[in-house]
Amino acid sequence: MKVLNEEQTSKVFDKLAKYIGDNIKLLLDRPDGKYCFRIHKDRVFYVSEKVLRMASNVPIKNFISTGTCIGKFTHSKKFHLHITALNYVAPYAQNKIWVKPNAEQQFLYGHNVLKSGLGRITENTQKFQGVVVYSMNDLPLGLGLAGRSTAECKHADPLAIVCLHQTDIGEYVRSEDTLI
Amino acid sequence: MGRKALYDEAAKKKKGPGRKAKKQKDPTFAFKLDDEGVSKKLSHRQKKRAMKRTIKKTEQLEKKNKKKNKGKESALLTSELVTVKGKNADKKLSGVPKNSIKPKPFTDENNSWLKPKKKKKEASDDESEDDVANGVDGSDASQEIDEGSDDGVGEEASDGSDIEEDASDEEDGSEQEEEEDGSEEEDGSEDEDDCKVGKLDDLIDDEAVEDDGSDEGDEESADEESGSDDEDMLPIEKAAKKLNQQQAIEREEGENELQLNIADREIFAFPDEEEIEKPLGIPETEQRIKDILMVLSNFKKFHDENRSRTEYIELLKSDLCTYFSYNRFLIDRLVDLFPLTELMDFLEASETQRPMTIRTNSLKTRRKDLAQALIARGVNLDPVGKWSKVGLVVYNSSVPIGATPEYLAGHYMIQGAASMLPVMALAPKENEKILDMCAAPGGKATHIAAVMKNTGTLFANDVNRERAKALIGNFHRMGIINSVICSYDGRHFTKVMTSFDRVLLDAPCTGTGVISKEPSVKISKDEVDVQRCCTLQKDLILEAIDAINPKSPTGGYLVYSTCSVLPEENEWVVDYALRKRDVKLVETGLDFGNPGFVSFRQFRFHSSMKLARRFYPHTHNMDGFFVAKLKKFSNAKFDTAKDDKSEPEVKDVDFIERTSDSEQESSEKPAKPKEPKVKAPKHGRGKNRAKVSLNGDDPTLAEKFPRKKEKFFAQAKPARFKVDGTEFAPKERKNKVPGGEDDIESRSTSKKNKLKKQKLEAKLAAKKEALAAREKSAEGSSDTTNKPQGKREAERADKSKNDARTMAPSAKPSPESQSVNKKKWKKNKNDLVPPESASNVTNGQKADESGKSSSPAQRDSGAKGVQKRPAENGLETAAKKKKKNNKKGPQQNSNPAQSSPGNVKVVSPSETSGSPQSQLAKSKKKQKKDKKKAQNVEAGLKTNSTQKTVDSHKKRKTKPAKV
Repeated sequence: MKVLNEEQTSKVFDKLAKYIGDNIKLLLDRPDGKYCFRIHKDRVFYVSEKVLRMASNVPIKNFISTGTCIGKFTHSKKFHLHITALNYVAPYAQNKIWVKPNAEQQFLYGHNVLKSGLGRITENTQKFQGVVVYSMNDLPLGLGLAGRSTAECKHADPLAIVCLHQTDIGEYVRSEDTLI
Repeated sequence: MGRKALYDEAAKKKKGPGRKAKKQKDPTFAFKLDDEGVSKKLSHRQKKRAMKRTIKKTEQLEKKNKKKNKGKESALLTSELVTVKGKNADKKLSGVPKNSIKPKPFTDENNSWLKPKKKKKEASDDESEDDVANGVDGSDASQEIDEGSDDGVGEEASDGSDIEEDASDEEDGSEQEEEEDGSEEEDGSEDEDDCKVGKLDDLIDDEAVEDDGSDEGDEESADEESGSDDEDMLPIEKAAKKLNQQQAIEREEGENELQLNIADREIFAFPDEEEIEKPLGIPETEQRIKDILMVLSNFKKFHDENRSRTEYIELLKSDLCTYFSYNRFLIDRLVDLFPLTELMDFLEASETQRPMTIRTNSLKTRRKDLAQALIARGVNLDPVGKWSKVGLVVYNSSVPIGATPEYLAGHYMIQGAASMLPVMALAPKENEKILDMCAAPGGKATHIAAVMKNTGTLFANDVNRERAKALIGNFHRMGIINSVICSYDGRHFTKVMTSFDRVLLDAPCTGTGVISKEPSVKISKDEVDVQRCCTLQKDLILEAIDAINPKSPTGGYLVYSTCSVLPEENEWVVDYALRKRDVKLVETGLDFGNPGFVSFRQFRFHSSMKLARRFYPHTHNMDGFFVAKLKKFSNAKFDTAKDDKSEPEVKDVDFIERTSDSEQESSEKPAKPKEPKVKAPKHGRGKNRAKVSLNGDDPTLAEKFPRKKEKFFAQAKPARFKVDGTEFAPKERKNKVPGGEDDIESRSTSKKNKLKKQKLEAKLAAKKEALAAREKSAEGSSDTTNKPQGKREAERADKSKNDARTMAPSAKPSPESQSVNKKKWKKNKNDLVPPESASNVTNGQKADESGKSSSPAQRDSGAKGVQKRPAENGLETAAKKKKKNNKKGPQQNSNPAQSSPGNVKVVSPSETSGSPQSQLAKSKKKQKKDKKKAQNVEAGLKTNSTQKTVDSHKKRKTKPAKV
């Protein structure tokens, strides 16, 4: 359990900013106490300091997880968001995509969202911006990248990809072992 | 206007329906149906039918009369016959033409004798012949009558004949008077023929004849009937009849069989040995199970005289094993656990799956919303019950419940209904520090977090890293952010963290409550598994209690739960915890469920055990579960005083084993408690004394050894005396009759040691001889004969005490050299004064005592002697053990799994007995434990230090908090 170094911090924040933009501030200044980022075995945890204090009692070899794991650093030192970060990303997301019920299942199996499955999309979404994918009844389903900007979407082919799949909640079942 | 008041009539008038709805009067007819008035003219066919009716009537009447008169007829005078004739004539007069028989048309009724066309002719020919013949007879008869009755009777007859003539003229002129007479006569005289015909003809005649009680056999008629019926039946009718008959037969057979079956069931014959050996089909086994259960339900009534209940139960058990495919061990346990009817329910409930239940994640959604969302997806569900606000039962679903978007979004958790109970019992509060010791896969842990509303801290621990991965998934899916997930051996969790407000220990168990989920339990578990689980659970529960902060303002609670129904894993463990730690059982807060066992077979648990809750698949339709809630009051650990019984108080333990053990050690056992007193003062005299007295007085002990009761007390009593021996000895000596009880006691104890002793005797013979010889010479030759045995022995004992002291524990001085007293010696061999008792007696006293020759003293000493050896043995072994422990110490520390379970023996019979021996052993163990603990602490410190070095300064910072 280490504090993130400068480089790591910037990478993490950059990534988060893709999805939640300026709302990162809200993650850091919370009314319910101080929260912080910690790294353990390349996994980045976002956790309340109170809990962290207790968690530091656990020997490293026995430690598994605390708070919320938001992602991991790959071997090439890139930062990947995990589906587990959805809890924090979804409420603050700036760009959202709603998928139709029949496309919902597709997305949960790890596929991209096509124009035909697109229900709604936030205005002013830029191309390749991070988006949170919602079902039509406002259930966050996962994270992705906008394949088209909002304007492009309107005129796109029905089979054009409007959202590139990054991670989805189907992974809780599909890849439980490699979740974090 | 208005109504007229008809005062008089109004009162009389009956109030009926309105004027317009006036009731119609009964209709009146112009003609009268009755014969009073003019009858309507009959149609041709009506006339014919009427004729037939009348003819029949007359025939029947005639028959009746004939029957009545039959006996008399022969004897009767002709005049009477005439009168009969006259009557007949009268009847004929009444309007029925006599020869109306002939024109009868062909109908179903008369088809038997009246044949259509061709046959009719033949029949009529026959009839005519008959008629002729009859006519002859008839004429004879008439002649007779005529001859016999010259008086007016004849006139009457002639009158009658005249009338007949008229009638015949009317209808059939061709027939002659004679013939008519004859035919008339024929009707009357030839009753039999008529009867037959009548029977075949129609039912009415049939009945009439039967009423008359005709001579003919019923069988004949029946045969004829059927025969005649068959001839005329349509093929389909025949088939139907056949079918009916067959069905009747089958029904009869069926009934017989049924009765046979009933008979079988009523008298269940206990199968022979060979039959038991034979493999039986599943349905037969099921039947036999039912039969045996029925027998057992009313054993007195149904049982086989030669078979005992145990035999029946044995058979039942083996049948249950085959039928439900359990292994024998588990069936034994379950039979012990449940009454037989309930057992069947349990076994059957364990075959079927419990309904799937889900728990709403109150952090993300509400039950109502979730239910709506799921119903929209085609899931049929209902609230699980009033006891839970988050549970839902899923009856059926068109989509996989474990893969709906709602599930993936963490809106609910698939979880057995029973799994919610421990958390409800735990009743977590916000901002508490809570530990779930065996958390995977996280159903209960996430429930706790949800109840805490993501505040405070939740430690979710599971020893298995692989399973802990499920924890990660579930915690993140459910959106729990206040958790620390770690993989640690729960038995050492206090090293990581203590002072929790609440701890949930959902201990690993054999899973006998969730057989429906995991059927492999049925055959995979055995005694050893249960013991292992039990040991592990005991360690875990102590560790869990240690991790609790008793001064917590909000909590200080432990909830212990298992998914097993065996008391070994439940009540026993909790009982153990109650002994070992300063905890008490409290209400679980669950308003349903069966109370925990206060007593189970030979075990007696703490009386508050009824506050625990048991749940069964067959009564609550949830997994078998046990939930107990404990409140911790202090950090006190009762390692010593309460340690006496590491197991629940045992009443009447397996008798056979016990006795065999005890017989071997019979002489040794009672001695043990004394031993530590004298030789090992460490243990505290007072305490030991208490134990001894307890052993002597404790009624449960007496129950434990019912067969050996006498023996036991015989030994135990002197042992007690011995405690105060020196003071009371002189008094008793005076009263004591030498050679009385003592001999009996000693004999009883000595028998079993004879062999052992004899061996030693040989070795020691030489020394003793010398001593004895000396003694003899000192006391004189007289003592061999006159002196009471006890006295002599005492003297000898006293003198040989030095030798005895040097001897090994089992070694007793036996004066083989004295051939005269050899036998007596053998009897009282055990009365020899053992070293300790001897040491009690000072040298100065020795002479006096020997002079006084008190048997009580001997008894005391004897008892001591008997008891002494094993005690020494025990000490030696204890010493050895200690050494071993010292050697083992580090190893045990290195292997944490062994260290603590090793101390807690589960079911060793010697321990369960609570006998002095076991107590001694325990006291030793206690020491052992203390040492180990010290070592553990050291080890812990070491590990801590290593951690420190590895870890950053953070650790050190937090460390004081931990302490």
